[in-house]
Amino acid sequence: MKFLNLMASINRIGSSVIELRDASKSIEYWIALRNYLETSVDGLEELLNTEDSVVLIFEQQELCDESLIKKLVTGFQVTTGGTLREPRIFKVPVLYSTSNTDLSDVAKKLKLSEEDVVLKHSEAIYQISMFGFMPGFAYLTGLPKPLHIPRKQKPSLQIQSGSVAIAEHYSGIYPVDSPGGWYVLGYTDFSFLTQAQNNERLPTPGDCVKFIPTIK
Amino acid sequence: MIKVLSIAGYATIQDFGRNGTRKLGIPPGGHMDRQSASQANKLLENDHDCALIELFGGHMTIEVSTNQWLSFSGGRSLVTVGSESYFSPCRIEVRPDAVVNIGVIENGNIVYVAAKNGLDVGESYGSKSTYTPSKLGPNQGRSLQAGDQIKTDVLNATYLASEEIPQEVYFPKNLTVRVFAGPEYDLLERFGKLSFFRETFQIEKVNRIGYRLSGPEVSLYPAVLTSRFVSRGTIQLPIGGQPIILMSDAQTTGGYPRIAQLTDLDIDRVSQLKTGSRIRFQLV
Repeated sequence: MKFLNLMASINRIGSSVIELRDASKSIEYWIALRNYLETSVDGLEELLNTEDSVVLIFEQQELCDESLIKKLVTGFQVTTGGTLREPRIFKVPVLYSTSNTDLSDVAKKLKLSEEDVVLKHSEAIYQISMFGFMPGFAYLTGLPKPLHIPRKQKPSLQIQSGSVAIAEHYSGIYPVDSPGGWYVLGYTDFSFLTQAQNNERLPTPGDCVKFIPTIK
Repeated sequence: MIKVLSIAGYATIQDFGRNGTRKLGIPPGGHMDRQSASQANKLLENDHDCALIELFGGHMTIEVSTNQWLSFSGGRSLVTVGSESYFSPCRIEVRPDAVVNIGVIENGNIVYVAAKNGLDVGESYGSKSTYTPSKLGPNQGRSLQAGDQIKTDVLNATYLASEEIPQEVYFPKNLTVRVFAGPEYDLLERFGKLSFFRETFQIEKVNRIGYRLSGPEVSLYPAVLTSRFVSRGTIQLPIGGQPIILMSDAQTTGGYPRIAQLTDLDIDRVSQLKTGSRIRFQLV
């Protein structure tokens, strides 16, 4: 195992993208840094964060200045003024079910009762850590430890849109039918893309999610 | 109106793609070969970002209901209307109810079909590009099928004469392309670097998401990576050591090491490499 890239690094990707990465920093750091850079860097086409990086995409190659970004990042701290945003909480109704889901399988694997899995999953407050994988798919962190479970070894060929699923330390909502290796616990009609279309403020990493169990 | 009569291959409506939607996990999408797409619009004196048809592989026949000017660019294809035929790149004038055949693409993968003043289709997230995996964009987010109709501008004035344009850029069968080192370049073992930059790879499978290569195994130090930013032109190395070049419809994040990044101009050239073509990489 080689431990490259675990250290703080600033990567130029192609001609007009800069990626800041540091595995020792928390998701809170990246979200705060993204908010900070949003107001302090000119010429950005887009700015986004993943769980351990911030990516700056510049409109033009000439504006892509690594030394400037380095200067801005050095000395930045999560508490730097004006970077905190009021997070929103999205309430997501979920119909937890043992039919056509992996709920029973998950309970068995984690040595919990099905009720316990549902209770633990719906008690927690999750945070959007990043979007990726497919349009409108948010990686939600905050899954209680007893529910952490490795991805399926053999991914399902089709996971239905609206599936609320878990894998590793994440929960997520499938926005469209898709193959996938996560365990499905229930279904929702909530979609981040619908939220994005109906609200001026886009769902953003740092925003929170609470799953609300519903009864058919 | 353009009506699709028959189609073989994968045709979608595209423009330059989406801006600023990666933060929602939506890939930019857009043309595979930007230079050729721009040429098609230029031939009709269109705005450079007018939406057009991207025909990926195969051939198609369309019917045009009104007076119209069409242009064709990209790979070399024989365009036939009535008793006349032209090789792309070309510009043709068509009369109402004309049937236009776009023949099999002889070199390259992709032909662009533009109409005067562009295709009149709706936008999704600020773009007229079709992204079929999530059904975004024109034609309900689907690829074009026989029977589909696309609105175009109604034209009256006479315009430019039909004309075949001398081809400036030909798409070679085999290419050497320039790449930047990717963020995980240092995960390549010494022999991995040697095989990646000294050996030849074959294009094994192509689609709008990515081009899969086959060749000598490119060896890598084992590493478990978190999901990272990827884009058009990123060369990923999955387990097994056979590289994948990501293209316009690639996801916004990926978990495989990003060993290299193509230069922007070379992405266009690579997009026209057919299955079976050979490619070599050169570090910038």
